[in-house]
Amino acid sequence: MTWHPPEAVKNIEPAKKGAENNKTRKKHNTHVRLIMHIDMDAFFAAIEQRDNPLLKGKPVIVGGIPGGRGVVSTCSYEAREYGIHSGMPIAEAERRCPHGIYLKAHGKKYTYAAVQLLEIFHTFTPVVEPVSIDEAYLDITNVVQKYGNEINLARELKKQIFKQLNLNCSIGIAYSRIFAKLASGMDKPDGLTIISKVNIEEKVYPLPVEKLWGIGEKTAEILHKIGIYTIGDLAVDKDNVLKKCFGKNGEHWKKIARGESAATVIPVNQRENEKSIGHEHTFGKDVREDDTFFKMLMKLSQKVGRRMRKRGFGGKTVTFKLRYSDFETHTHRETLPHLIWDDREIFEEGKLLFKQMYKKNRPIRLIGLSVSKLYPLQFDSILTSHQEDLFNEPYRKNEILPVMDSLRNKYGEKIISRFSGVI
Amino acid sequence: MMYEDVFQPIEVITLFQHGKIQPLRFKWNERAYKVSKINSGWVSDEGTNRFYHFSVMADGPDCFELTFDLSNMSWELSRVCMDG
Repeated sequence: MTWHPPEAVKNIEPAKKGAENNKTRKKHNTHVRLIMHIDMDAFFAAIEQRDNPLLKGKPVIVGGIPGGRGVVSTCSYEAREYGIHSGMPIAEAERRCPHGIYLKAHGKKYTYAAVQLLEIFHTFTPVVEPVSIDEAYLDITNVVQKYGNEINLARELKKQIFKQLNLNCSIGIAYSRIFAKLASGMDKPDGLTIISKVNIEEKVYPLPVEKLWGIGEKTAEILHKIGIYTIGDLAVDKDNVLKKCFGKNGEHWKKIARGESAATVIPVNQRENEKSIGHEHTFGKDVREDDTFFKMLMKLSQKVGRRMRKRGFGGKTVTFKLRYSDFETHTHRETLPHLIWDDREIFEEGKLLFKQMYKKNRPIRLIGLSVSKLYPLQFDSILTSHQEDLFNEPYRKNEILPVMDSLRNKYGEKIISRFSGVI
Repeated sequence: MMYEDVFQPIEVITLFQHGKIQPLRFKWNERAYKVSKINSGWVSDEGTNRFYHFSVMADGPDCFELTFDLSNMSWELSRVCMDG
């Protein structure tokens, strides 16, 4: 398998841009960072096309099969020509592209590719921050010299990804994290875009202000009212209105628009603890308050509990999300006086929240369960944090849970499950 | 084009070399197939058990997913994608 630089990459002039960036780096040697954002192109669909040459050049939609209730996880660029995009209900995708090829997601296969990707990233720099299964930030400030300039480094990285995984990615490089992400989306697929202090006015400033991370629709509306339509308007803030109208936030956005945000790349091992652990499920067919519903609630409770215990956390706040068939969505949460980490307790709390909000007989489309306010668990707290109930549940729990977890560790997740029938 | 979940045990002539596994030929439905191309391979775990998956082309445009179960050294044809 041979790799050739794609046209988009060939057309960049490394000498010019490299020289400009080198100058900037020399000038502010200790301050200028170089951040790379890598976004895999149509990741799941590209993996399916790689694994099955019959799918190449065809509209491939990953996420669910026709007639099902799922949403599109990813679709190939051929499918995007029909207006299909991630998050669209499969039924709508099917209406737009009835001859498309609809595939179930193969999570384990995609996770394996993501792990391989991370290994490749780490051969370039130790400062890697994965932000999702198909996206990562790399701080390349201290390694770029080895490759001559950032363009050579990016080309070599693209080459390695293609050689080892037969997949394409789009890369953005900038002196700020937010601009790096903006850049990677500018020339998809297979793109390489650099935003430097020299080309910021040409590449970034004309873009609508909504393109900037953190500026939602509502904020954009308010900004439009005070005459700010582009990122350039926000960065220049001609009449100094931002501070007057938005106080500290205004100053913050101005900094972001100039690429002066201090956000850095944080490797996984230096990250703060997770803030919450949760799972969601969309039912294949609408359900009501029945066995299918409670079985799924138990399944989600077990998934959440298992992840918490694997990471050594207990949590205090349980959140339950309920979406009816007409997409009306409600979220309720409850903060407990003690830590929980047991599947059954999470299930019971989830059930209580559900009972509080459920309107009888309305069909349910989706449920979600999460636990937040996480604290590291210590063995002592496991024994003493919760008052014993009538059946000595804490003691039984401390005997049962480790056995269940070790069975799952050895034989897989499906080997043992709590019975949700008695509810 | 049609995907079909098969999940049937099959016999595979396999090359084990330099710590790598490579399916060469397999038999399914009384027919022998010669692997012409390995499109990709990936690994999955279920508990401590490890599975090696291969997406391969064999004798024509059809695409097969073969899975090797390390716990009992056995092969399975997991999925087939037929052209046409």
